[in-house]
This record gives sequence, C-alpha cells and structure tokens, in this order.
Amino acid sequence: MENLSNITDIDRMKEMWSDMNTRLTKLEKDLSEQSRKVSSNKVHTAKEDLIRKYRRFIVIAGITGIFFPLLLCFGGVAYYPQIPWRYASAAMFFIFFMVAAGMDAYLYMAVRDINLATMSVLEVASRGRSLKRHHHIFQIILIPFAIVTLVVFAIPIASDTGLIIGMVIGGIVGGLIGLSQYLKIMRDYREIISQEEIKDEE
Amino acid sequence: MSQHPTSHTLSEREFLDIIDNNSSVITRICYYYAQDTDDFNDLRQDVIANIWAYRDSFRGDSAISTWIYRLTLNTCISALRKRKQKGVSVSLETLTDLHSDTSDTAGMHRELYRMISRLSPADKAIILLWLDDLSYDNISDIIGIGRNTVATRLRRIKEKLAKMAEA
Repeated sequence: MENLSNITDIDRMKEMWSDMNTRLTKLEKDLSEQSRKVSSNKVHTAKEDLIRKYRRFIVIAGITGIFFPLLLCFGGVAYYPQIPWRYASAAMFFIFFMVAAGMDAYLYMAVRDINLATMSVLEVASRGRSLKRHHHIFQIILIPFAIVTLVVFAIPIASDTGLIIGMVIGGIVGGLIGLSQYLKIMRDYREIISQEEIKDEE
Repeated sequence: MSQHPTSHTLSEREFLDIIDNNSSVITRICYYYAQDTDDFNDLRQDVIANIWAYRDSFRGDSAISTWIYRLTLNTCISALRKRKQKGVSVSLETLTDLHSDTSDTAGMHRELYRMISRLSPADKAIILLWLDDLSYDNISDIIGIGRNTVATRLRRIKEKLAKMAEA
C-alpha cells in the first residue's frame, strides 16, 4: 500500500478526499425521499422535544404550586390543626414549586433561543454547555429546598405513622421519577466541545 | 455548490431543491460524524428536520451553502441531537463497500476516514470545511473564530494528522 505519510501531503489529501466523495454519492439518493417525509409530516427535532419537556415541567410545577398549598390550607385542617405549621408548609410548597417553574421557564427560553441555522458552531456549543451547567445548578438548589419543605410538612404529622410511611414511599417514587427525567434531559445534552478546544486566538 | 441567496422564507419546493443541491455536503458531514450506519441515518434525518424547521431563518444574508454547512455541523456537533435506541451496530464501511474493497486506494480511504474520525468534533469541522475548499473567511464565519485562528488551527490539525499517519 502507498506510504500513509503521503496522505497528509495537501494535494494527495485533497485528491483522496475527492475520491472518497465519489464513493459517498451513492448514499445521496435516499435524501430526497427523507426530505419529502419531513416536509409533509410533522417531524420533531431534538430541540423541539427538549422545549416540550420544559414546557410540561413549567405547567406541572405551576399547577401543583397553586393547588397543593390551597389544598393544604383549606383541606388539610384535620391533619394540620396548628395554623402556623399549615400556612408555613403551604408557603414553602408554593415557593418551591414557583421557583422550580421559574427555573424551567429560564431553561425553556434559553433552549428556544438557540438557532442552529444562524449561530456559529462555537456559539451553539457554548450555549449548550451553559444550559447543561445551569440545569445542574438548579438541581443542586432545588433538592435541599425540597428536603426542607418535606421536613416542615412532616413535623406536625410525625405521630401519624401511616402518613409518614406514605410520605416516605411517595418521596421515593417521586425522587425516582425525577431522577429518571433528569437523566433523560442530560442525555439530550451532550458536552462534546470542551471550553479548551476552541478559543479565538486573535 | 453555492446558490444565489434568496430574500424570502423558503417554500416547500425550494426546500426540496436545496436538499437535492446540497445532498453531497449533508451526506459527507454526517458520514464523518456518525459512529455507525444507524447513527448516520439518524443524523441525516435530524439535519433535514432542522433545515425544514429553520427554513424561516434564512434571510439571504449569506450563501445557501454556508447556511447548510452551519446547520449541518451544528446538528452533528451540538448538544441538541436526538439519540435513538440502537440495535446492533453496523460499520459505516458497509455503506460505501469499503469493507469488501481490498484495493490500495480503498485502504487509503479507510485510513483517511479513520484519521479524520479520531479528531475532536471541532477539529473535524475545521478540516472538513477546508477539504471542501471553503475559504478561511467562510470557515471563520461558520465556526465562529477569527481568520487567523482558523489558519493556526488548520496547521495544528495537519500536524496531528501527520503524526497519526506516521504512527
């Protein structure tokens, strides 16, 4: 076989590139068919999937953040006879879910604003990295907040074993669902270009 | 490959024409970023879906080819890619008959492919654009780095490829 070091000779590399491109032309014939499917059907891009996920989280957090505290205040009298605990717990749940909805709204808008067609490769990679970092930070803030909220919720009803067991089971199930969603979102992000890789050296 | 820029939102007919006229660019970039045949097909579908989704964003302020290169590379490299469940991984060489071709030329093609594939996604983008005869200014615009940085990066990439070839 020809000496491999010749590959990196500029003229030889471009010649081989051109030859290789000829091999790839047979793969182009399927593209027209795929294009027609895309233009005639609703095909979701990865970005649209991510935006839909965040929108769903905003709605769930917003609705839960309004209705659950109301339920606690007006429907939970039997379990929360002590007014201070009832309202404190309701307030904490309300704040927690509103903060979560706000964070999801931030991420939703940030993803929505990424434009793969007009932004440079560097900018898209940078925004993707930033989003992933913010998502991690928001989790770090929300998880301790959730634990404190649940503790405040549980203190007045600590003597009711059944309720506590229910809360623990609910917490574990909710935590697992949350973890599963978190891992799915992280899979949608992929850090490929590290900060060190591309620097504008001008 | 370059086309006169248009100044209106692309119609479906124009979309299909653009895909036909730029199919070699899309196929080539996806080929060098894919891990296997499933990944290659997924990437191409993602690129086409993004071209359709972003058809309103083309305003004619750059050549359509530049727009296609930018969108295709961003789809291949960016964090915003669909990752579907995969079955058995099938080598890309089966798509181009490289796996069955025993000629010296095929050997050199395989080696060129492997060397470029071992580059980082950023370096891969720069060398692919350069091999496609894009100007430094075009490469600078697509990647988002200065013209001098393009020249510096290309020199380093060629040095990396030379070391790979000697190894």
